[in-house]
Amino acid sequence: MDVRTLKDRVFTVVVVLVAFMAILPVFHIIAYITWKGLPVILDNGISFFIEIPAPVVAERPGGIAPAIAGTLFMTLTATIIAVPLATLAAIFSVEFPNHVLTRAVRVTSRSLLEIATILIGMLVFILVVLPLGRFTALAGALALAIVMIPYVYTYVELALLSVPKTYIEAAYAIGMRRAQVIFYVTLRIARRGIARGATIAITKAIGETAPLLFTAFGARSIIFGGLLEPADALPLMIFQFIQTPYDNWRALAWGGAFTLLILYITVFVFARVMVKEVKY
Amino acid sequence: MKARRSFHDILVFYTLALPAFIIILILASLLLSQLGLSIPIFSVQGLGTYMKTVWKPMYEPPPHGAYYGLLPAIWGTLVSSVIAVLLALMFTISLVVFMEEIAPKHVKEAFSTIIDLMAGLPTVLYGIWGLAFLGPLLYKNVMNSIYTYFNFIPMFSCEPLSGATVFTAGVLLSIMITPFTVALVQESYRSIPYTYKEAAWSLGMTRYEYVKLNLSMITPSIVSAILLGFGRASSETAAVTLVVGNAMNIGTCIFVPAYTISSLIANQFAEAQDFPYMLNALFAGGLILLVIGLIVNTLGVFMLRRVRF
Repeated sequence: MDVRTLKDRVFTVVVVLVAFMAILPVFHIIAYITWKGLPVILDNGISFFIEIPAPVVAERPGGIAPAIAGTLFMTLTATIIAVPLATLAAIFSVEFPNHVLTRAVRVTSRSLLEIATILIGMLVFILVVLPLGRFTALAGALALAIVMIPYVYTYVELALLSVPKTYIEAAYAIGMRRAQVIFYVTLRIARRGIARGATIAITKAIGETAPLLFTAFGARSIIFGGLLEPADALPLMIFQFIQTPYDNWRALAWGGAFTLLILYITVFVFARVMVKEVKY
Repeated sequence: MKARRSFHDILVFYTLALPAFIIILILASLLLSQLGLSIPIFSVQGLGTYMKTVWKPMYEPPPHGAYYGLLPAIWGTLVSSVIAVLLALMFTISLVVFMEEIAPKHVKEAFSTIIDLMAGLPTVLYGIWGLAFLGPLLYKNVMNSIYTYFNFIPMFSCEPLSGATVFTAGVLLSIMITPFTVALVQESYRSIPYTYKEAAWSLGMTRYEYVKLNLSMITPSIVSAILLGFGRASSETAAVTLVVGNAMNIGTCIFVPAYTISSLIANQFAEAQDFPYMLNALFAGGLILLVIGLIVNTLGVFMLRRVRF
């Protein structure tokens, strides 16, 4: 075997090994979280999902109901704010492609994707938490909405751009007005792409910790206090409880991590199935 | 009829322009708040905010009582991100070459699905795994042996005391940013015209020589992936805060617990209101994070545009 062949063989082996090494962690993460989290859920049964966390000295750890309620409420509120806002902005970019506002909103969206999400938490803290004088579920939802906006915008814009021009021209040709064309033709054709954008943004929102640290803050003495009370969220609870020395709370963090993992994988699979069905 | 039509158009225009404007306003207020709220700390501490290593929250305001020097956190951000980018580069090139040149079609598809899954996995799950598994693993099996055999190199010259170090943060970040850098490099790799590839094969190149040639054609996109990956790594918060150790340390050794800018903000923001100027110091941290992000992302996008065939 000459030197060239030897180099080639060594190279191939190294590349294959490193490639497998790079994806190994994700399998280990899934297995490890299941191994640590699933027993907690099995031990506590349904009470894990419907009770509040027990005091640290209690015999049983209680449940993560506040985190689940908070995640559902804040993600839903954030979706209701972010999806229409970002969708309308994306329609604007497609309808007025040469307008200065279009260029500005594109740069904004790209920048928001890159910015550390903890800075979004700081902004909402200054604009919402300080004036209200308290941490609120509303502030958490607004922070999550800002996290979601650039994702929705990017995917909806792509979906709208992929609508065949012939359909739009045909709609104008039969005398439809701009608003009618947008709502009855463009949005109808692009609806799966929009749903996919919203789904991807939701996977981001349910997994975010940093923007909630000083907006929603966390509240675990009741399941859900309302819009103007502090709220809990799954990632927030995991982040805070895993750093405590109490076995009960750490158990809740692992059970919560497993719950979040299942939630994430469900939405991920849902988004994949949706991609496969996009056809014009 | 004509007048009504133009009224209709104006209505459509403003209904759509308003949300676009609100989104721009959000970013503008974010930038302004970071800038505006860091001014007070600069007026009392000057550039010492970024140059000094003292972090001393006190009720007596700076510069005579308390002092808020962010240098250790900036250093921690840079070190953890550099480690992350170097390791991610190794993973990225191997993954791209494996998926594009070696793997059969169904293996390649499985890999892309797994990489997509990795890309969106909530960062706190990486963090909890890093804290409970990766940190202790690196401490027992990697850091101690490197320290034992290579402690004459300044980078490895301190004895690791636990798994929560800036090195652990770097390794965890490298796993987290790999899906992102793979997407960038893979797209460029695919854009290499097939005629070039055929020409290379027809010269009788081995796969190693062929891949080396291909990678040399997309060097700008690899540089871009390094820069954009660095931006991602430096802005990550939850996972890093759980593994980085959260201590004000600065030095050449990477086996010490440290702070990054984002983990400092995550840990101290809630209490920062109790001390004068501390909140402003954390905003100054946010500001430097924005500046770092602006520089690497602008350069990164510029490099990415240079790949043209």
